[in-house]
Order: sequence, then C-alpha cells, then structure tokens
Amino acid sequence: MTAITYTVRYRLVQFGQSLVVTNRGGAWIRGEISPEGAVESGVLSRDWPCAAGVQTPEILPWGARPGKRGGRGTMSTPIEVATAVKVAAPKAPAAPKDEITLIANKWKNKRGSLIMALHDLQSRVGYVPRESAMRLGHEMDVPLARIYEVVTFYNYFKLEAPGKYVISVCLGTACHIKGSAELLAGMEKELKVREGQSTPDKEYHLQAVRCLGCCGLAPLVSVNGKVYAKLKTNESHHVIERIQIDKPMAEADHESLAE
Amino acid sequence: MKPEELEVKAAAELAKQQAFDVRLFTCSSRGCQSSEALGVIAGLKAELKARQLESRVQVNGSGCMGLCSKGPLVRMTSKTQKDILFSEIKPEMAAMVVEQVVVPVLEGKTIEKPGGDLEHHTLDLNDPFFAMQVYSVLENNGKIDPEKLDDYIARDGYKALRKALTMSAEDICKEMLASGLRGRGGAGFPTGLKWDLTRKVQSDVKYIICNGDEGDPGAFMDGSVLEGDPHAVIEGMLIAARAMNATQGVFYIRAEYPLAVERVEKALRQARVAGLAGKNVMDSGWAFDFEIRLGAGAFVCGEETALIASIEGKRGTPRPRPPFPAVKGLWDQPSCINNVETLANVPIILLKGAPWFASRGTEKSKGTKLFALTGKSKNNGLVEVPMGMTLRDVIEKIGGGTDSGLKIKAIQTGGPSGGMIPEHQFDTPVSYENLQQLGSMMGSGGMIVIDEHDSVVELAQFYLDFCVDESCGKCAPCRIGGTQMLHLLNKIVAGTGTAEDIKTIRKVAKAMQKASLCALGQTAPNPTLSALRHFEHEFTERLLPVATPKA
Amino acid sequence: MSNTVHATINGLPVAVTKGTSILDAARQVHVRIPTLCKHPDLDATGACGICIVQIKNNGKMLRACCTAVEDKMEILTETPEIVDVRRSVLELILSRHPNECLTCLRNQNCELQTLAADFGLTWTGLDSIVPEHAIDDSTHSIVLDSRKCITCGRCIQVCQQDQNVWALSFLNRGFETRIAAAGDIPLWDSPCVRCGQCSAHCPTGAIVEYDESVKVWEKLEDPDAYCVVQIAPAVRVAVGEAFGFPVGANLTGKIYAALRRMGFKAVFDTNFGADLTIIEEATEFKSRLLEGKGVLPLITSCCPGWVNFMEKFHSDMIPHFSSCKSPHAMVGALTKTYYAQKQGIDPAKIFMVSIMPCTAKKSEIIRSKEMYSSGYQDVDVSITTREFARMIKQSGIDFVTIPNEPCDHILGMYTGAGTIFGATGGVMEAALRTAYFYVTGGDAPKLDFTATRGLKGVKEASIDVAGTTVRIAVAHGLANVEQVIDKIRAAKEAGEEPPYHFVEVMACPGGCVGGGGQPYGATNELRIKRAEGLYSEDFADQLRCSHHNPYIKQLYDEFLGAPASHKAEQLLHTGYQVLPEYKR
Ligand SMILES: Cc1cc2nc3c(=O)[nH]c(=O)nc-3n(C[C@H](O)[C@H](O)[C@H](O)COP(=O)(O)O)c2cc1C
Ligand code: SF4
Ligand code: SF4
Ligand code: SF4
Ligand code: SF4
Ligand code: FES
Ligand code: FES
Repeated sequence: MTAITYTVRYRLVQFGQSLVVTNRGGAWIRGEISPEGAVESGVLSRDWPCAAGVQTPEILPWGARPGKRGGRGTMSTPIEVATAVKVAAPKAPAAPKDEITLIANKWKNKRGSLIMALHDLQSRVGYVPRESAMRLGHEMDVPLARIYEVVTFYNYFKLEAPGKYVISVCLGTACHIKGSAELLAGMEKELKVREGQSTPDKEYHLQAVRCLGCCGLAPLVSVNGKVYAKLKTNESHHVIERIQIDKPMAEADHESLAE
Repeated sequence: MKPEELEVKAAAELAKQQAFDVRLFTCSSRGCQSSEALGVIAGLKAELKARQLESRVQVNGSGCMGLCSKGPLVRMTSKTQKDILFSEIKPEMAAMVVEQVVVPVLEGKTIEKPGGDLEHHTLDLNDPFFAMQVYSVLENNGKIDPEKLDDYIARDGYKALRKALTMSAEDICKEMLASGLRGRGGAGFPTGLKWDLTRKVQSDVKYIICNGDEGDPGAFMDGSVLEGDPHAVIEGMLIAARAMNATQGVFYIRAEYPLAVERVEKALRQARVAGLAGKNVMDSGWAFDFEIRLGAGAFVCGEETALIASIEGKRGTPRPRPPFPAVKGLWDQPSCINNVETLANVPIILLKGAPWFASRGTEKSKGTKLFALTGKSKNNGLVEVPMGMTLRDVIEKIGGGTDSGLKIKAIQTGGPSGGMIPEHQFDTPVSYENLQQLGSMMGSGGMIVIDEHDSVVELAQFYLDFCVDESCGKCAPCRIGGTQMLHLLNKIVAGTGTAEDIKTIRKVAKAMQKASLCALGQTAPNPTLSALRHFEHEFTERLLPVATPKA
Repeated sequence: MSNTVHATINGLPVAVTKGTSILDAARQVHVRIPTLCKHPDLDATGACGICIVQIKNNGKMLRACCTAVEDKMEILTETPEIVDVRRSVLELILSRHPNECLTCLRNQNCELQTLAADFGLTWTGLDSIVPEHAIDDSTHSIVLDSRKCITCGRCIQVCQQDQNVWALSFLNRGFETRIAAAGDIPLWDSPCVRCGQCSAHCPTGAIVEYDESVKVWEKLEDPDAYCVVQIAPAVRVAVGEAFGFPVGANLTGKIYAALRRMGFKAVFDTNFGADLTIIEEATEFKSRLLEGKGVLPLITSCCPGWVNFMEKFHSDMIPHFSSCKSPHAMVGALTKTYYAQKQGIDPAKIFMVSIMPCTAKKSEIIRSKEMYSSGYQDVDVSITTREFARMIKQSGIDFVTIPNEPCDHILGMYTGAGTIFGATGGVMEAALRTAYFYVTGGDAPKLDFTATRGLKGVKEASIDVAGTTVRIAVAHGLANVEQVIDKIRAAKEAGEEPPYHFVEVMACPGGCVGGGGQPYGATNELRIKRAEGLYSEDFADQLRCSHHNPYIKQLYDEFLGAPASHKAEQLLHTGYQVLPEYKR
C-alpha cells in the first residue's frame, strides 16, 4: 500500500480556512491559504489502495460545478502539478494529553457536560484544537461531529489559535449607541487585521462581542478579561497604547492561566 | 443548620456589624471592578490599617449600587449619621476618603456633604435617581457583601425558605399566584401558575432552572443581581423547588459573566456548608442541590427549549412547543425555567406576603421591575422602579434626560425583540400590557435612550443584524427572512432602497412573525416594524430619489 | 381518561388518538397540508415552517407536522392568510437556493421544486442570496452541495440516529448553517460509510448520488469497449417506481431487455453472484461451526456500508467477518476471468457495470487490492437504481411496453435464494437453506425461514438444523447493529459461548430494497412492498436454493474447482483492515 504525496501549486476558491482540490479518483490535496491568497503546497491524504488504481491525478478545483463530471464541458481551471515533496502540516499548540484526560474525567459522568468540558479545554489553550477535540470526544464518548456541531454553534469557542492578547470590542446596544463600531474600525486599522482575525505575529486577536455586562461604562473593550471602559470612539490608538503599558500585568495573568 | 439557628446567626452577625462605627461598601461588581474597585478596597484597607482603625471601620465589597457610569461607588454607613455615597473613587483617593470623611465621622462630627476634592465625588442621595427608585430586588445591593452568607442572613436571608419549608407545595404556588408576580425574563407569564403547572406533573425527577443567560445586549440586570445578591436567587430557587417538588436545580449563566459564575459558585459552597442546600436542607430531611452550567455565546439559548438543549450539551436550537418544558424539559423530565430577577423576587414575597407585593404596580403588573438604563441617558445604570411609574419619570427624572442635553427621540425596550417607543408616548405607565400595546415589550429590561441625532433606521438595522447573527438557523423563516430583511435594510441605510423595499420588508416581517419556530424569529422584526410605525419618514428620506419627470 | 381527542379541521370533525399530529389527523379527513422538512420516517423538527395552520380566533400559527391535536381544537388549514404566509416562506427558501433545476439531478423529482410548482411561484421579489460553498464529492459515492440544502436536518437525523455514524453534522449557525463533516473536512476523511441514506432522505438535490452514468454512456459509445452489466436483486423491484409501475413490481425481464438495447454485450445478474456468495459463505460457516476453523458468530460481509462501518467502528469484529466479497464484486471478478476466457475476449476491453441499489458500492469497487483480483479493476463503474432509471429515460426505450427478455447465462441464471438477498434477512435465509444442505446432505423440509423476515430492527431466532441449534441474528440500519455487537463482545469478554452462530447485517433500513441509491420516498410501507416483490419471485421459483443453481455447479466444475479452493479464495474473497474513524 503506497501513500502518495504531492505538492501542488494552484490558485483556487477559498473553502473555509483551507483549500482542497481533488483528483477524480478521490485523492485529496489540501493546502493552507497564505495571506496573499496564493497557496504554496499541500499534502495528499489518501492511501491509494493499489497500483492498478493509480491514475495520473487530474486535479480539479473542489467546488467546480457538476456537469464537469464525465468530461462533458469542464469548468475547472487547469492546475499545475509540481514536484512530489512531503510537506509537514503546521503545528499548532494542543493541550497535553493527560490534561484532556483530567478534563474528561471531571465531566464525563455528568450528563450533557460537553460544553463545560470545552470551556475547560479552551481556557487552557485558548481554542479547541482538533487533536484535543478528538481525544476529548474519545474519552467522553462523544462523537467528534457533536463536538464540532457545538463548537461552531457557540460564538465563544474558537477553532483556531488566537493571538496572545484577545481584544474584545463590545458591540452591544449600549456600546453601539456610543459609537463602538467606530472604535472597532479604528482597532482594525490600528492592528491591520479584520474583526475575528489575529495579527500575523499572533500577538493580538481582535474580536467583536455582544455586551460584556458593563453597559453603564460604554463604549468599552476587554483584553484577556481586563476591561477598558468609557473610551472615546477615536481612541483606538490610545487603547493599544494602554494595552502595551498594561502588558506586563496581562502577561502575568496569562502565565497564571497557563500554570 | 436548624431553622432556629438562623436567628442566632442573624443576631450574631448584626451584633458584629454593630460593633463597627463605620462601614464602607465598595461596589465590587464587574462594572466597577473594571474601574479598579478592587484597588479602592485595598487602598481603604491599607489606609485604615495604617491608622489602626480596622476595628472601628469595616471595609466590604458590595453589589451594584446602580450608577455604574459613575463607578467605582463607595457607600459609607454610620450609626451617627446619614449614608454618604462617593462616586468615581480611584485607588489613590482612598486615603483622602478616610482622612476627610471617615476620621471626622469617627470623631463624632456629622458630615452633610464632603467638601474639597471630594465634593465632586459625592452623590446626592436625594437626587431623583435614588429617591424615586423603589428597592426591593435591589434592596440588599450596596448593603451586603455578596461573598458573605452571614451578611445575607443578617438581612432576613433564608427566612423565607424557613417559612416555605413549613408550607405545602400548593400553598406556596397559591401565594405566588396571589402576589401577581410575572416572569421577568420577557414573556411575563404568571410565576405562580407556571409553578403550579409543573407541580401538577407527576414525576420522580423535576428540574428548576435559573435562566441567567441574559443575552439581550445592553441589559445587565440579571448579571448584577447574581453578582450582588446570589443568595437571594438561590433562596428563590429553593422555594421554587419546594413549590413544585423539584429534585435538582440548575443555574445556566452566560460565560461572559465570569464574576457572576464565581459568586454563585461561592454562594452555593457556603449554602452547602451551612446546610441550606445539599443533603439536608435546614435539617428538614429534604435533599436538594444545584449544578452550574455555562452558556457559550448564543442569545437564542435564553429561549427555554434552546436552553435545555444547551444544558444537555447540544447545539442550542429551540424545538417546537408543546410539549412545554413543564411536561417535557431537561432530559425529558418536567422542568421549570425562571429568570434570575423573577427568582430574586420570590423570598421577599414569601416573607412579606402576597398582598404587600401586590400593593405595588398596576392591575395586571405587580411589584417592581429592574431596568438597565443606557444609551444617551445622563444617568446610566441599574434602576428599580415600581410598575405603574410613567416612562417619562423613569427616563427624565431617574435617568435625568440626556447627557448631551439633546432632545430624547425615543427609547427602545425589550432589546432585539422589543420596539421603539417615541417621546410622545412617554406618559404611559410601565406595565407588561402597556409596553406591548405600544408595540414594544417589557423584555428582560434593557432600556436604551436615543436622542434626536440618532437614526432609528440604523438602530433597527443594528438590532436586526444582531438577530441574524444570533439566529440558530434551524427554521427557514428566521434564518432566511432575517437575512433578507437585513439585506433590504442595508440597502435603505446605504441610500439605494426603494419604496418597494419597504413593502417587501413588511411582507418578510409577517412571514417571520407567523412562521418562525421560536420567539427569536417571531419577534426579530419588531424593532424594524416599530421604527417604521413611528418614524417611517426616516426610512423614506433615505430612499433612492425617484426621478420626477419634468413638467 | 379517554385516549381519543375530538377536533375539527376546516370544519370537518375528526377523532384521533391523543398525540396524533395535526398533519396526520388532516390526512384522515382528506385534507392535504403541504410539508417540506417532514419525512414520514423521521421525527418532525419543525424546520421549514411550510405546514403552518391556525386555530380559529387565534392569530398564532402552529406547525401541523409537530403539533398534536388537542381536544376541541378548531383547526384551519387554508385561510388566505395561511396561504399567504406559506407562500412568503417558500419565497424566502427559494431566495436562498440556486436556481439550477435544469441541471440538477433532482429535476422533476424534488420536493422543493414540486412545492414551488404547486404554489405557482413566478418571481420572488427578493434578491437571491446563495452562499458559495464547495461541493464535496470526495466519497465517490455521494455528492454534497450545501448550496441546495434547506437545512431540514433529515440527513443528519439519519446519519446520526438511524445509522449511528455521525459523519454529517450541522456546522455554524444562523444563515451560515450548513451540513458538513466534523470540522469541515471532506467526507472522504470522515467516518462516512457511504451508505447513501442521507441522499435517499434529502428532499432536494443537496445530497445526491455520485452520478457516473455519463461514464457508462461513453463506454457504450466506444466501439473498443466490451460492456457487461449486472443488476442487483433490489433493483428489479424498485426501478419501476420511476415509470409509474406499482411499488414492488418485479421487472427483471424488462430490465434485461432495456440493457441489451442500450448496447451491453452481456447482461448478467448479481443474483447469480448472490448464489455464489451463499456457496462460499455456507462453506465458511460449515467449517466454522462444525470444524472449528475460525471464530463464531460468522458475520455477513455482502454490504459494503456495513463493512466500512465495521472497519471504522468495530474493527475487533474482523475475525468474525466472512471473507466473501459482495455478490456483484464476485460477478465482476468472474466476468474478467472466467467469462473472458470462455468467450475469448481481452479482459482489458471489458467494461463491467454494476447496477445497484447502493451508493457504497461506488467506492467499494476501489476499496482495496482485492477489488483488482482479475488483474484489472473488477467492476469499473457501479451506478444506482436512480441513475439507471434516468439512463432508461435517456435511451429512448419505452420501458413500460418493452417485452421481457432473458439474461445471458453463465453468470446470469439464479435461484430464489439469490433474489431474496435484496431484503433484510434474505442473506440469512438463503444461507440457512444451503447450510442445512451442507450439514444434512438434504434440503430443509420448509425452505421459508420466516423468522428472518420483516422490518424489526434486530431479529433473533434459534433454528434447528437437523438437531443442531443455530442461533442467528439479523440487523438492518446500522444503529441496530450496536446491540448485536455489544452482546457478542460481552460474551467474548465473559468467556461465554457466543450468543449467535450467524449474524446478518445490512446497513440500510429494510436491507437493499431500502438502499441509499433506490428511488426516493422510501418508507417502511414501501420497503415492505419491495421486499414482497422479491419474496414472491422466490416463492414462485423452481429452484430456491443456491446449491441447486446448475450454472454454479458448472462454474466450479469448469473454473473454480471447489468452494474455498485457492482460485475461489483469490477471486471471491477479500480481507479487512482497521480504519481510523477520521483520517484527519
Ligand atoms: C430568543 C430569546 C431569548 C431569551 N433570553 C432570555 C434571557 O436571556 N434571560 C431570561 O431570563 N429569559 C430569556 N428569554 C425568555 C425565556 O425563554 C423564558 O421565557 C424565561 O426565562 C422564563 O422565565 P420567567 O417566567 O421567570 O420570565 C428569552 C426568550 C427568547 C425567545
Ligand atoms: S426562529 Fe430563529 S432562532 Fe428560533 S428556531 Fe427559528 S431559526 Fe432558530
Ligand atoms: S434541488 Fe430541487 S429546487 Fe433545487 S435546483 Fe435541484 S431540482 Fe431545483
Ligand atoms: S452516506 Fe451514510 S454514513 Fe455517509 S454521510 Fe450519508 S448517511 Fe452518513
Ligand atoms: S442536505 Fe438535504 S436532507 Fe440534509 S439538511 Fe440539507 S436539505 Fe435536508
Ligand atoms: S453593551 Fe457593551 S457592555 Fe453591554
Ligand atoms: S413540514 Fe412542518 S415545519 Fe416543515
């Protein structure tokens, strides 16, 4: 049984956070999107059963409309297949195994406590890594599909590792009336990221939230739980500065969280 | 704890409190914590220690005292004089407070109004903001330390539970029904009736669930109550459990309120240790315990059936009702879901009696209601008003008008499910029926003031955007209808809408109202429709100009 | 307390048992309430909002599919207001749906399209907002196009509850809600077992079979290709539904005729393969039962969906699995060896097409090296009954009137035992007939082992085979398998005698007659009728036991030697591997 690894270079439509192309035999090539939108490489992830079945991979963009099949009127863009090099998937932090066991043991005997376990997991690593989710599901006897169903339903959970400092700009009604949209726009400009994204250096993650329960102090942002209140809408620069100043403190919090 | 011990404990705690000449309460709720309230507490303690006044002055944290925008608030109570309420106290001002006010008071002086630098940091307790409020649910806020069980017991805490333990389940339900208490979570269903319905369902397992999801953006009453007086809610739940023979309590609290979660956790631990919850409640042989479950950022999980799904560890999507949770709720067992504020009202009703409670309010809406007054209001914060007070009194007197001095255009109540009430209707007394009749609703109690510079079209757009964001996506009318309506509203805001679009908005709104599965979708068009009803010109002004043929 | 409630629907009195939905009650008085998300086999979710009705003097609208009738309800189902709202809701649904009917596999066979046609919608007045999502055809069995999804949740209910696979789930929420495998990975990498039940339950073209009919046409047009075809048992009693035949009508002869006209050079029948499977499997069973070669119970392996499920979720059962390939794979392998030799055809030129009720067979044919046992891909394309029905329509053949024709022999002639393979319990029954023969040397006095028949989720029985008690279990629908496996496992752990000797599993509810590639609208009622079509053919057959099939005898004599011979092992048997639930 031979596993085949291809590296391909292609331009394609975005599919979630990643791009996937297929050859017709059902082989899958996956790559991550770089900031420019161009894709460097991907790994073919299918174990081809036997030599007799291998055909030249005819790579079609995933998502080309039906009708392309059978070759009558193909709507796909041709893709250049480059050299076959194995590319390691980027490594993101995951929660240590025994810790997941700990979380699972804490919750698995309480019915329906998946969300609580996910809270525990996310508070450890800042997001819900796939590996950890798989392990958690395994230990709690919850199908992975259920975990993803839940994680993608609730705004609170993240599937990607966020930046170190999570800046939450409140877009609740009180804050909205006091101009929080402008504040957020300023932040986006300041950090050069869009809402919901992290800076490339993974230092900041900018997100919008709906009401932090301090509406009397609108508009406000919170950074890793610390609230900066009664801001002026044009003060985004100032907020970042204050974050910089408070960083040592936040850092300490961060570490205590990690302990 | 035996029932009699309650009084002993209360008396002991009162005596302890009496021993202090001055007691300082610093709001330690989330809002004030974000303006360094904890630093203020530390500062006060340090200063008093330095002056060796610790035995004479007690420093406490407290629940929200209402005027969040002026936080951190510090209340000084003394046996010898009227309370003083300081505002916007920074940690570095702690010494000043001790030196300029506490010490003179301890020396026997009476201070009417602190002078000097503190003059602008003192609030007038005769101001309508305080004077016109009627504290019932908030009675303890600012007067007890939410982290101390004895503080609560000293203020008649758990006395109502003691009474409930001597009553039959049916009688408790009757008492609640007689009080006229209605659900504070939005729909206003009579609480006594709900309990009675759940009571009548036969089952070995029953749940009482506290709905602390408070997803309405711009409302923070429930969070404040949980942070400021967690034991009142616990006691309310225990009484509710007695009234319907529930076997387990569940707190569902939104994850964005970590402090509330922490306080409830702590309070539950205290209650268990004191024998007020757990294996043997007040030595009555009755076992009842609680669990805490967190939300995870989904407004729709405030809806009863979605909340149940969420507690079961699933996607928080509502399911069709009937069967109602009273028949088939959490884990298919009968369940009663009550709002935080509803439950916080329970002990005092039982203690003071239904007639006392029913004496306040209008014919069909009794008692008091908490509002989170925000937006362009001068006074921003948590207020408690009796039902029947006119909106004008709430907004103009308690709220003090706008901070900018601009004219008030309207208020929005009921959050994303509610509607706008224009200024000319402000003379309406607050009640469930009246607000509904004005095309809005009581909702959970967010009250957002907008002034003449604010655009109602954009506010409607904001709320709809929220609902589209928060729609669970299960049913087509809400999932697609909301998106389409928002799309049309976006067009109008961008100035490319047409009169046809307004017609389509109304049509889609109707489909959503009638065919959505849960109240989120059914009510999502309300802000837009009420804006259209009262301010249609603001919409038409923004339409694409129609070319008029030259004469 | 009385268990009956009385109400009126549009003024017509109706009495139903408590708990009956308004939708079902309305049917009793011949009132049709339109529905979209509700599937008769599945729990109502109330997702679409099309079935709304009103109670007299009450502005609120209720969902008929999931609201129970209450006493004294005065239900109105067709007021102008209701119709108006229904229409608006439908307009909304269409505004989030690609207008691709003409190039959609569900064209003219789509619940949404029918509804839109019924309402006579012309112009919705709404801008079309259709999110662009990638199409997932990675499984080679089903194609998932979430743009066409109306999020009714049927597929998820089927995949999670009925099949217990949990490959599909909802992703995101609100307008962004869509169906996907956990973590938005291609279904190929998910636990999906390719059963296709999701596609059979989907009301729209959001999940359809991986259509390969074009490939078949291409080969039929290719003068160099020697096209051979076989049809599965369950196809013959279902394809007629697409042409207005009564449900369960057995159209074997017409199918042969149509295939020959399409240009297939040889028309075979998978029933022959089924007979062959029985010979091999019964031999295997006999040697396990009587000679102690291998563990008991023996578990059937002719359902590729079940094989996938076992490899992913219950790989500890591998030793229990029969090593027999599925019947069509056997026919495929023999076509490119035995038949090719006999006819003197270059097997490289043979293009083997299987017509199956099944989507799992589409990926089964490339699942492992054993599927290339002839030296070529044994089966080149496997198409479903639905694709086949469309092909007939494209071919210009008047299927309704075309006279019956026989199949081509050698790999075509079959017995009643092969026919009943298409229904749950059929494999077991057929195997018992032959096992009885193998053990006793004579046929059972009564060939109908009825304990294996019917739609009960798990059927257990003890059968007396000439003094030896054989304990059997038959399960269909993968969720039902769990309890059988649990029992086997428990006995194993406790070191007890196995609870069964022989276990049959089919992944689809009702067996192949309810397969994922069968015509739409399968309910239990339909499944029973289709199965009846098979049983009545079996009953009428002269030959009802696989071991009486003369061509099977000929095959062993001329080519394979004996059951379980080396050659048989090489061509007719396969192996299994432990597969991860998730490949990533
Ligand atoms: C979309 C939606 C959100 C809701 N959010 C809340 C909430 O955050 N808190 C709450 O107490 N009730 C909320 N409710 C109302 C609850 O469903 C329920 O009516 C209430 O908790 C019942 O308690 P009560 O009878 O004490 O008011 C919401 C309802 C809907 C439809
Ligand atoms: S109305 Fe909206 S939130 Fe409620 S079930 Fe339907 S889609 Fe979900
Ligand atoms: S799924 Fe139905 S309505 Fe949609 S494009 Fe296909 S045939 Fe048309
Ligand atoms: S083919 Fe079967 S296993 Fe795969 S997604 Fe569909 S229902 Fe689930
Ligand atoms: S894919 Fe089909 S069955 Fe599944 S939710 Fe969408 S429309 Fe329903
Ligand atoms: S609206 Fe921003 S904190 Fe409530
Ligand atoms: S058929 Fe009843 S809601 Fe869809």
